[in-house]
Amino acid sequence: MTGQAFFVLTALADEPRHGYGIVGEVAELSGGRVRLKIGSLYGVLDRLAAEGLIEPDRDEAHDGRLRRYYRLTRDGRGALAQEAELRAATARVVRVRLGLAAEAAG
Amino acid sequence: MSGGLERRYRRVLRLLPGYYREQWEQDMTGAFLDGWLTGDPEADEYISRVAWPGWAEVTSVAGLAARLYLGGAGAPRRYFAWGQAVRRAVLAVLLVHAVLAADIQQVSVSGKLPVEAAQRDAEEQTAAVQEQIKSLDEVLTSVLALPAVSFDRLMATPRTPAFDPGPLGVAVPAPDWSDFAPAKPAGLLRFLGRTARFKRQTAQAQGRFEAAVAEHREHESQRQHALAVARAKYHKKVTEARAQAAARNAYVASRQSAFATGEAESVAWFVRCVLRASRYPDGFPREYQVTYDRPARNVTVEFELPAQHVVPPVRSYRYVKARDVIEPVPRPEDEISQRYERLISAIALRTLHEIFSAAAPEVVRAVSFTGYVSTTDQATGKPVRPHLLAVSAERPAFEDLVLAEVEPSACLARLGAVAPAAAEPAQGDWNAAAD
Repeated sequence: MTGQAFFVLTALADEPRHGYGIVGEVAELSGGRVRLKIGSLYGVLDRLAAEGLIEPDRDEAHDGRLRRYYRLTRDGRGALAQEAELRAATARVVRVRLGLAAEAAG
Repeated sequence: MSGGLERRYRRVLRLLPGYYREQWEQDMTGAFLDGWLTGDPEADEYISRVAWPGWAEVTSVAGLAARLYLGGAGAPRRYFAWGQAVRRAVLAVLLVHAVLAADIQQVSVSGKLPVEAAQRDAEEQTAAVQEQIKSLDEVLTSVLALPAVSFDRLMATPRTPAFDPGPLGVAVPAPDWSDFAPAKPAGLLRFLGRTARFKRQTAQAQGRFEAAVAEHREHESQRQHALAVARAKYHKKVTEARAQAAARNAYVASRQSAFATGEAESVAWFVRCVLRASRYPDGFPREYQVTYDRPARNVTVEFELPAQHVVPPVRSYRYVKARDVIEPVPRPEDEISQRYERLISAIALRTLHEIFSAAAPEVVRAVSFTGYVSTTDQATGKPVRPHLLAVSAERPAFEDLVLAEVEPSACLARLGAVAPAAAEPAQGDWNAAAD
C-alpha cells in the first residue's frame, strides 16, 4: 500500500468525508507533510474504489454543488488495520534497533 | 458563481479519458473549488474571476492521465491505444510510467496517425528510455559535487515572501468622463438647433457615466474585500511559519549538541536526515534503518534498494510501418542484470560517501551498509526482504578512493563487499545485520 493510500484510508477511518475534506484531513494527519493535489487524490480514490476498499457514502449539496462523501468498506477497514499493524511492527523493530525499547530483537 | 475558475479547471480535466471524466469530473471539480473558495460570496466572485489552477494541480492531473492512458488498473482495454490525446498528456511523464509500470507490450498506434508522427513518437519514447538509463548511470557521480548535509543546513529559515496580492492588488481604472462626453457642436452648427440635441446627448451620456461609476465602485469594494481576506490569510501563514521554524531549529540544535557527544539516537537521527536529503530518481524506495554503535564509532545502515525492474526492460522503440505499430526492442537479460548490479553498487558507494562527508570524523569512523529489496516470496506468497549486498568501510580507506573514476562493482569488491543473498534466510531478516 502506498503512503498516499494509507493516509487516505486513515482519513476515512472515523467518518465519511468528501474529496476536499480528505485533502484537509490528510494534511492534518501528516502534520502538513502530505498535501494531496486533486489529481493525485482521485488517482488514489479511484483505485481504492476499484479494489473495493472505499465506496460512496452520500451526496450532499453545498453552495449549489453536490459533494460526494466516501466511506471505508469492511474490506477497507481490514486492509487499513493490517497495514497499520505492519507499520507498527516495523516501527517496533526500529525502536528496538535504536535502543529505545527493551524487547529482545531475536 | 464559480464560473470562470470552474471552467478553467474543467479545461484541465479534458486531459483525462472520457470514461474517467464521466465518473469523476463532477467530484474532482467540486473538490478543487472547495480548495479555493472562501464561502464569502464577494471574495469568491472575485477569486473565480481571476484565479487559475496552479501548475502543481495541472501536473497531478497530467500524471493521472498518463496512468489511465497506459491502461493502468481499471482502464478499459481500448485505452491501451496511443492517440492524439496521449501526446497532449505530457509525453515525458507518460514514458517514465510506461517503462516503470507497464510490462513490455506492443502498443498499437491509432490508424489515423501519419507515419512521420508515429516515427517521431517512437524516437521520443526511445529518447525517454535513454534518459532513464543515463540517470541510473549517474546515480553515484551526480552527487559527488553536492555540498554535504550539515546541521546548519537542517536549520529552517522561515519562508516569509513579501505579500503578493497578485491581480487583487491592481485597481481597475475608474471610468473617465471624456470617454462618455458627446462631441460639442462646432461653428455654425451651434446656430442650427444643434445645441438642444447636444444637451440631450449630454444627459444620456451622464446617465451611462454614472452607471459605470457605480459599477466601478462596486467592483472596487469587492476587490478591497477580497484583498483584505488574502492579506489576513498571508499574515496568519507567516506567523505560523515563523513559530514552526523556531521550534524546528531549537530541536535541531539540541540534536547537534547530542551528536557531538556521540549520543547514539542523535547520530542515527542525523544520518537519517542525510539519507533523506539525498535525491534519487522517481520510483526508488525511500526506506532505511540506521543505528549507531558508540564504542566502535560505527554507523550501520540497512537500506532498501530498488528492484531490478528500475532498469528499463526496453532498449528502444521502433515503428513498424507494415503493421502500423510501435514495437519495443527488449534489452538483453545479461545487460539488465549487469546494469542492476552496477546500480546497487553505486547506491552503496553513494550512501557511504554521503554519510562520511556529512558526519564529523570524531563521531563516525566506519560505516556498514546492508542493502535489501522488498519482494514477495514466490513459494510462500509472503513479503520478504532478501539482502543483496553488504559492505563495511573505514573512513581513511574510503576517503582514499577517487569515486568519480571508479567502476562501482569493482570498487565494492575491493572494499570487501559480500553478496549474502544466497545465505540469507527468506524472511525474518530484519535483524540480520546486527548479529
